[in-house]
Amino acid sequence: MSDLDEQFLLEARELLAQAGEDLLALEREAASPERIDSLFRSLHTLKGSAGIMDLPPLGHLMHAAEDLLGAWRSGAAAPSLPFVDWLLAALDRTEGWLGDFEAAGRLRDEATDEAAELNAELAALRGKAQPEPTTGPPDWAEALLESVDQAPKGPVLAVEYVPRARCFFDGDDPIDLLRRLPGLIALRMEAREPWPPLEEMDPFACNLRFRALVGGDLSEARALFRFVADQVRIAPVEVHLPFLPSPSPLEEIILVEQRRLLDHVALGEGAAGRLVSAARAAANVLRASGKAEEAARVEVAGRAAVEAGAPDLLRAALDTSGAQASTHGPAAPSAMSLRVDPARVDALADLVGELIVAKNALAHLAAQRGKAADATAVLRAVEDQIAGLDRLTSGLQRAVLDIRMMSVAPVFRRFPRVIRDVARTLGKEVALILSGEDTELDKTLVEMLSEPLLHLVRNALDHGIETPPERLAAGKPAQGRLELRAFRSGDGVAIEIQDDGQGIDAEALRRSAVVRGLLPPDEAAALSDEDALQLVFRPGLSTAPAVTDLSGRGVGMDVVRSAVEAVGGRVRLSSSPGRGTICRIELPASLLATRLLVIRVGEERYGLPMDQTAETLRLPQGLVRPVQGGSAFVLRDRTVPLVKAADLLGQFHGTAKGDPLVIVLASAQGLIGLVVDAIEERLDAVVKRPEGLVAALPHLLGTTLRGDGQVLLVLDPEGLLA
Amino acid sequence: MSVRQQGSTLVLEGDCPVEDAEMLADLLRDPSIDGIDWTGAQRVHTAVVQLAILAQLPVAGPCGDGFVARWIEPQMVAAAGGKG
Repeated sequence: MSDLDEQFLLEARELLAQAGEDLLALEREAASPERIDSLFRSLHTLKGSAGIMDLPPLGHLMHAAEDLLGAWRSGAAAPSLPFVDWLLAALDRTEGWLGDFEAAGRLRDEATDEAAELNAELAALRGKAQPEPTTGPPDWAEALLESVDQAPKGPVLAVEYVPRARCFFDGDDPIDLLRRLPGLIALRMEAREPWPPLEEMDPFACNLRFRALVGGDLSEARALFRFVADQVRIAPVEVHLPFLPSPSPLEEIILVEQRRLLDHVALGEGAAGRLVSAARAAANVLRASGKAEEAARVEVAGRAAVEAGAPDLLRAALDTSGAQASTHGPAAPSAMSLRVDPARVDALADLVGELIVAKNALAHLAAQRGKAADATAVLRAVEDQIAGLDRLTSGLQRAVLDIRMMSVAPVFRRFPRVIRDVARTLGKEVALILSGEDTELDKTLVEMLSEPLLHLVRNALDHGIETPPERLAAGKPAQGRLELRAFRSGDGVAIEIQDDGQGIDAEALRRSAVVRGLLPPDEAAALSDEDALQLVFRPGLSTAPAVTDLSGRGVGMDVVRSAVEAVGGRVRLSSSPGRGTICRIELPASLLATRLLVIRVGEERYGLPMDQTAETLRLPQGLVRPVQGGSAFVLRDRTVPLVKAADLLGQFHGTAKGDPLVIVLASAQGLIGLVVDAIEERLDAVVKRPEGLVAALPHLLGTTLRGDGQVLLVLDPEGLLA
Repeated sequence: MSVRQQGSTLVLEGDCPVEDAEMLADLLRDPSIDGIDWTGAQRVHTAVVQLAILAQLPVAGPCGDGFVARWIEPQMVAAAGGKG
């Protein structure tokens, strides 16, 4: 894949993410001009890129989307749910195409048809949508709106439902229909005709009229009332907001993009291709904005630049076309991929500079070897240099680590969409509150987080948060709350997913664990409620359908735990029945340096991660107690099983003489004493994941190099004891 | 049966389907009835709600049907308060 392709994919995905975010915000909030502008910019840039990359289906699709947004910007049409849905579908399709492009360097064969289909859908929607705004909101809507305590956000519909007198005989239950109306804001029930005296009232004649305000979308309301359509009138209550025309000249954005691309053009292979692309794209956009002369000038400059092999020629032409990176260029604070802050690269460069100085100083000392009279002075100077090098290498490690740090925002920003879709499917109302998106983690950790969080969020929506009627019946607001928080906690980062749903019943989990044979009854009974909750992370439990019914947690919690623990994190659940659940994931902030304890077992040396060793002790032989099939000892009133590292590692081991040396490990199974022959040193090391043959060993976390160049196998206590 | 008389109060319990409307209307016509208690009701049909409104009797709530309790009962209370 060429650099240009990569750049395109990177940017296109960022633009898609931004556009998706804007769309969801538009759906939530009232139509904000800034959002529409931002959306327009993203899609417009995508259209431009489609031209550059020669992807006509993408171009056509984005053109149609841009048209729609143009109508929104001009105020000719207001954003509404069917269109938001359409745009989201268009973004999804584009995402699929980008996948094709990444895999095969081109779009799938059906792409043209797919684009045409989507465009036809949009045309149909727009055609249908035309007559709607002509029916204004009824007078009563205003009065009813005033009775609402909180001003509704987003589009509001006025629904008037006058059931027929004989509707009960048709099997209709008007209140039941209204019950199913999502997003009810206000409801008035009145007599349609003056009430007759009770004696004359036919109990099966409906004399009611309902007037409601609904914060939902028209098509959903229509679908709900489709069988009584003749008795219902629905009209949007327009939320008018003054629209500010956007001053941002769009061509400038594309020109700036081209200018930026040129900055990366090095002479040599591929340079000519990039120059041609950039010149073509710039000329196209200039021509589209009616600047034919400038377009021609840029084209000429482009050709000259290619012939002379001098990107500067084209750069100069672009600069005079207003392509300087300006303050109101595309805002890029919310980039999705790993983009490194230049300051961090500078810090790295500074350190490398210092490293070179240190190396030169050492070379100087080496050169003095034969001449210097005072060998001790030279030695002292060498020691000083080594101290300096020590400081530099730690600095370098920190700097590299910093570069790998990225915020959790790219993971978090997926969730508004996920929650919208899942909540809709499940018929639930959920407000998502995100906080701490700026919290930084090692890139690998951020990438790892995505799936487990998705699991947890889906579970919270599916099994935690109740349906609106259930919530109302439980005295909660109809709309559930789901909070996703990231924050620094101690040395690492914690991520919490909190819902205000029905919570998990610890007792049900205990019972289920016993029924499934995971725990003997007495052990289950001895678990505290909090410990019992952690049972959801046990494989046998979380996948059992019975548990889903009992406890309200779905499948895959064991997967969540293993993913989190694979990167040295922990996950813990707390819940209070009826009030909700919090799942907390704790992660180390970085993956790079692991503090190791080097142990000797027989003649072999191994590393053990320090964060899993609770303590080390010399255990008097007399305190070792035989228990069934092994031995154990008592540590501060707790019985800790004792295992020999030599046995676990399959080494021959003679009868131990003297008091055994024990490392107490804190593992998922509780405390365990590991008997080793010696503890040699502590080491900060970069642990490499196991590769090749050793990758198959379950008890191996990875490998690292010791100071003497020997490879040290780093043990994984969890794998070792499993 | 979801409608029963307890002293001078009509008690609605459990599901209150449309079929209950006729019986409720009959009972409401008894002048000795002076109140309705629907705290134990679970799902109240529109026909039953309509009669409860028409009867203009003091209602002991909140209705066990959450939707009715939230959206309809306040209007009945307000109307009764306005009257009295």
